[in-house]
This record gives sequence, C-alpha cells and structure tokens, in this order.
Amino acid sequence: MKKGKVTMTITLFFVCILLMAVMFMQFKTVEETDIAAIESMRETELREAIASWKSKQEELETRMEEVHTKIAEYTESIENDKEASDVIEKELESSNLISGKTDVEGEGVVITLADGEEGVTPLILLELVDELRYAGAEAISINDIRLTNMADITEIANGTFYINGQRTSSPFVVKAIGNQTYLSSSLTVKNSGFVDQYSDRLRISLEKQKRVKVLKTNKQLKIEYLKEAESK
Amino acid sequence: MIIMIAILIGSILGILIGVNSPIIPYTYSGYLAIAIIAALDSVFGGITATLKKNFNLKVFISGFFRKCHFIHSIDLFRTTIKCRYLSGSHCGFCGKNV
Repeated sequence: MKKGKVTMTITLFFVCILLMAVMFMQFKTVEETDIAAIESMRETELREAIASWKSKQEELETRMEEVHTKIAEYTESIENDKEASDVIEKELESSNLISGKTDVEGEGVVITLADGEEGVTPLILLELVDELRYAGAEAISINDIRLTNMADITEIANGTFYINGQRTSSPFVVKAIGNQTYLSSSLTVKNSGFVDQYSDRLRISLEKQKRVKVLKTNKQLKIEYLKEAESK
Repeated sequence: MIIMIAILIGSILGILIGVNSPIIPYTYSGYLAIAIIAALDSVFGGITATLKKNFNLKVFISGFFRKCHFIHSIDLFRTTIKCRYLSGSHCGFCGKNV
C-alpha cells in the first residue's frame, strides 16, 4: 500500500501543479487582455458606433467636394489671367512683325530692278512698292533695307539712293512677303502692270519664292510728336 | 496526511508558475478556460470518490485527461457548426459520461 500511496501522492502533486498553473495563467490573460471588451459589446452598441462613423465620413466627403470646387475655381482664374496675358503677348508679337522690329519670312516674290535703257528712279521704286502694297504685301525690303511706315526713298546724286537713311544703289533687289499669286499677278497684268510698263526701260526679273526673308529695320523707331488721341 | 501536504505544495507551486508565466494569446485562452472546467470536474469527481472510499487513481488520471480532450473536441465542433453559446454545465454533464 505504501507504494500505491507514494504513486498517488506524486500523481496528485503533479496534477495540482498543472491545474493551479493553468488556472492562474488564465486569470492573468483575462486580466490583461482588453479585447474581451469588444467581444462583449452588444449588437446595438456596434450599430451606434458604425452609424456615427458613417455620418463622420459623409461630412468629410462633402467638405472634400467643397475644397475640390474651390481648387478648380482658382486654377480657372489663374488660367484666365494667363489667357489675357497670352492675348497681349500675341498682339505685341504681331505688332513687332508689322512694324519692322524683327526679321520676318514667308512666301512672296523677289523682284530685281537694274538699270537698262534708263536708270531706276525713286519714283519707280515707290510705284513698285505701292503696287506691292496694293496686292497685300505684308513686309517689303529693298536691298535688305526694311521699308517701315516712315521709310523714305531719295536719290541724292546720280545712282546714289538713300532708303530710310541707308545708302544703297542699283541693282535693287525688292523682296516682298505676301500671297505669291496676288503679288505676282498684280505686277504682271498685261500692259498696265508694273513689269510690262517698265520692261522696255529697265531690266526687271520677277521670281516667286516659298521662303522670302525680310530683315528687320536698322533705324530706331522714334516717336517725338506722336501721342495717343483722346477718344471723344 | 501526506497527500494533503502534497496537494497543498503542488497548488502553491502551480500558482507561482501560473502567475509568472507569459500571456497566452486571446484565442487560446477560450480553450484554456474550458479545459480548466473539465479539470475541476475531474477533481471534484476524485474528491467524491475519496469520500465514498472508492477512489481509483487510474480512473481519476485517465478521466482528467480524457475530459480535457473531450471538451476540446466539443469546442472545435461548436466553432465548426457556428454555435455561439455552450454552457459549462452542458460540457460537464457530457463529460461525466465519457
């Protein structure tokens, strides 16, 4: 019996250790775990929590929409400003082109006038320029001297010309940018066109070119007496 | 007499081990709780047997571990069929006949 008792004692001893250990491990775990709170939350509480989160999210969404529209407005107004300045820039660009401040190029004609039976006179040049302008030339240069609004053509002595203050002489290479067809056809009208009128007195050659380059004016555009008229 | 002492010392040692042990993951603690119930059931069965003077160690030990095993199987089955509640008394009652 003693042996049995010893076995029993030892067995009970170990069983007690095991049981108590496990029990207290469980106590410790439950004490320190807070998740039990969520598990025990009842359905109604969960529903309330979800509802409140939902309303919060909706609020945030509306706010986000408002902010987005505001951003769109601001970008639009910036673009409009940019548009306005773009328009002004374009105007300035075209003004520069027309006034002769920049080199320009485009399709057009090149006319060479050389002395023939008679010499070239300023009046002939002016007539040519006038014809070209009538035919819609947008830029004209004679011997690479740009003809601006206020350019003048004068002959000082025999054969010495001053165009816009710059000295030049025959032969005269007149370059004009505009519609090729109009320019050339208006000069080559039968009998009354420029070419026919002066072809017996001078040596004229007319050439249509796809890329005519007209250089900028070297003379400074000074305005001393001009000022903007008051609109009434 | 000596058995009492053995039980007492065993309990104290068990308490010391339990308090100083690392925390078990929450999911396992559920199973642990049910195992404790089964074990307690065994212990009370053993006490009853002792009072009736027909305590059989082999029955006690085998019952102890068999009940724990059985209760874990029941718990697993419970989660499989998605039954949320299962009272401890039910488990104990089933376990008594195992």
